[in-house]
Amino acid sequence: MTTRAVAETLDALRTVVARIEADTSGALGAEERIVLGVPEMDAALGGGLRRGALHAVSGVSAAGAVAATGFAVALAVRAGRRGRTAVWIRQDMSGRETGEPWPMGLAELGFDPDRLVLVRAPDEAATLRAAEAALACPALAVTLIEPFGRLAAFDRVAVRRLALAAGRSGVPAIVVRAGAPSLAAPVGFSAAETRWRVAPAASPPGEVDWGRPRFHVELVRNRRGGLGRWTLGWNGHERGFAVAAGNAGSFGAGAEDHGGRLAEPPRRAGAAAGAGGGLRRAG
Amino acid sequence: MRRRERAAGSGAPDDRPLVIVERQGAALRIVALDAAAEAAGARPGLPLTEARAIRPDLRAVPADAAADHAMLTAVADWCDRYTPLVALDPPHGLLLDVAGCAHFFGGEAAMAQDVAQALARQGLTARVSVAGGAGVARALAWFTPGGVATPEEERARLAALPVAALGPAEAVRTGLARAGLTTLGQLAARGRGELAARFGFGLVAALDQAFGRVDPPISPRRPAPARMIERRFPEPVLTQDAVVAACRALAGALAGRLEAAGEGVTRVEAAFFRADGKVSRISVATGRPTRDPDMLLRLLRERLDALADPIDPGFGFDLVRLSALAVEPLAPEAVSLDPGAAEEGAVAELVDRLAARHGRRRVLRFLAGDVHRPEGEARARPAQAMSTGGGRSAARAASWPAPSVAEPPRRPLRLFADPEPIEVLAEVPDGPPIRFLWRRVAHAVARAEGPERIALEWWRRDPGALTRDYFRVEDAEGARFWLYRDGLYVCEAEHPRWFLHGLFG
Repeated sequence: MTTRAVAETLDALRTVVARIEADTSGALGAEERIVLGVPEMDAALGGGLRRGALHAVSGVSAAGAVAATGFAVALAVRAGRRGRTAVWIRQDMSGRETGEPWPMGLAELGFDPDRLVLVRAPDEAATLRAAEAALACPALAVTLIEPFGRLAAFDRVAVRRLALAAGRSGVPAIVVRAGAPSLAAPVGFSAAETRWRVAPAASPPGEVDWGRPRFHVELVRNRRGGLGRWTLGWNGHERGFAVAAGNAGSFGAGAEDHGGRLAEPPRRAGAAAGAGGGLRRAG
Repeated sequence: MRRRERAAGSGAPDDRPLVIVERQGAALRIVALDAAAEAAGARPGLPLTEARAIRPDLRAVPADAAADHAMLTAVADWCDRYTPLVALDPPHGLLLDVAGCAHFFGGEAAMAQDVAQALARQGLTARVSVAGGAGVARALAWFTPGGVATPEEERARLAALPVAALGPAEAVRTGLARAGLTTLGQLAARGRGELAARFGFGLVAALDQAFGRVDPPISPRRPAPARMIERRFPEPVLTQDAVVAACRALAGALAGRLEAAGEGVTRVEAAFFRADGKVSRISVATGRPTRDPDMLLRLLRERLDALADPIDPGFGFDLVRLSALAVEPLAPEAVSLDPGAAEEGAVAELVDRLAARHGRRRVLRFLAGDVHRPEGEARARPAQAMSTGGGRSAARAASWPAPSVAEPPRRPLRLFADPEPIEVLAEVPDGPPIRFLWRRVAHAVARAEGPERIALEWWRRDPGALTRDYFRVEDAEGARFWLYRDGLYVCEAEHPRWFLHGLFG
């Protein structure tokens, strides 16, 4: 009788322990999705961004660099987990060229600065190493990786390793190419689950309190689903995307028109930058 | 224990007698010399010209106090292997507190011999003496052949020392000579009051120190570690595997001691003593106290990997030491059922690893500031220095802005550490920018919002700091910028300059 009671108690305890372990080991599952909250996007992504994967975001022009950061931060907020820490690794050069991530601005986008660890990596190799270390830690909410330059260190093998590490820990890796915008997709990022190109979008005409984050985003690669272009606004208070009003509405017929407008400004910007800044040319 | 090194001319192929000379008054006088020079009849204090008269082929090198000091420091580093308490006694001496250490080396005599021999192998001449007090040892090392003495022998030897051993001033020295007092024994036989009255209290104090009646503590170069554990190798180890294995064993042993004491470590130093005397040290810090040997080892390896020039084993390490430099109480490990605590622990460990590799100033958390200037609204602090979970638990002066329902962001997503100068076309006196040129690219302003006037707090006002008028602007492409005009027109600046301070997403 007593032995049976003991066995039962043990069983019950084991179940509890198993449940706790399932919780703590960060087994969020690589397959778990980050729902973006925009039905068309979630549909294209098959239910949302895959959590245990690497996603690459790049800007299409000098101005797009910051738009790319904004979009990446928005994704990070969506990927956030209650009480969990996010790690942002940025290369020194990136901080000099596009400015340092600023907690006041982050807070206004709905990203809790108290839950951020910022790593200032001196160079590409250090950025990569820190990224590997961070992605091995399943207790994080998200890892933002912001290298700068030609990304020689981020070759096919290195990116694949990062993607695998993200898969193992279930922590999404978002690589932002803020500093060196280029129209061409980054070379080594074939292991990325998704690749995005981002350009800034003007505030809608007639809006009085203009200036909310708005981007043209283009999903240029998706390993398991469709592609698409959207113009999005970001609401830091609701921590959600909104299909931008103004040029909103139809993504069917409007998409063509949209696409044209997305493709155009970058080219113009590229030309202007090419005439001027050496940095932008190098990208 | 007191050591003296002379004539650092080791390994010179030149075998002419060597002397070190220094200008004293009008003449170059010998301050140190090697054995050959001594055999030739040179003595310290002898003018170089006279010494040259005895031995014309004498090699004279000017004294270099800085190099001597560097040498002494290096020898002190090496002496850390005997005891963590090593003090410099410039210009040529070292004091080692070997209380409780000598038995590791087979007793005081064996230890003294070991020191002398090892230094001789490095080309240094040292006189070593072990005594009950630092002052006694010091006097014996300088004025006797050294060695270890029983307390009775110590007294006898001290008594026989010349008064010069006390290093008296010139006036006192002549006074003593006139009084016929030549040895410490004679001095000690006199009354203290009488000595103090005639020669000053300094002499009595020096006498007390020499006889060990007062024993001021030595001031070690490095703070004594809270705990320390070390491993000696009869054969120096060369391979990294062997070094890492040694570190692992030491970390395990250190963890055992820490556990017994109910402590965790927040700063650990590993010291690698090379057989030829060079010492390399690496240290790692943790954000919260730990005694997990695997974690300590991981941090040390991160640090070793990150070194710009790796530790060169030379001919091998013969001693590896792990010291706990800072410890804090740490309760016995409790299995936490709170998933949040486990996560925080994992994050703290990640922060430690990143800090070990990249440096603690490169792994940061943010703290809301309370300064008006935008760049003072938030401060970055080493993440290890802040409690996990950000400053949330800690009392904070200010908090982060909450995302607004109706308003667009007021502060940029990215901020330049150094605002970048831009050329701006704007309406005078305080109109918003119409066009601006940043990094040689022209931007036409489509919309502008402002100014937001930001001045330094009046109690911090300094004349150089101007009032800034900030504008949020959007250019034709939809990119959003944060610009400011540095100074008010006319009343603060004739032609205020414009800067770009940040970028909005």
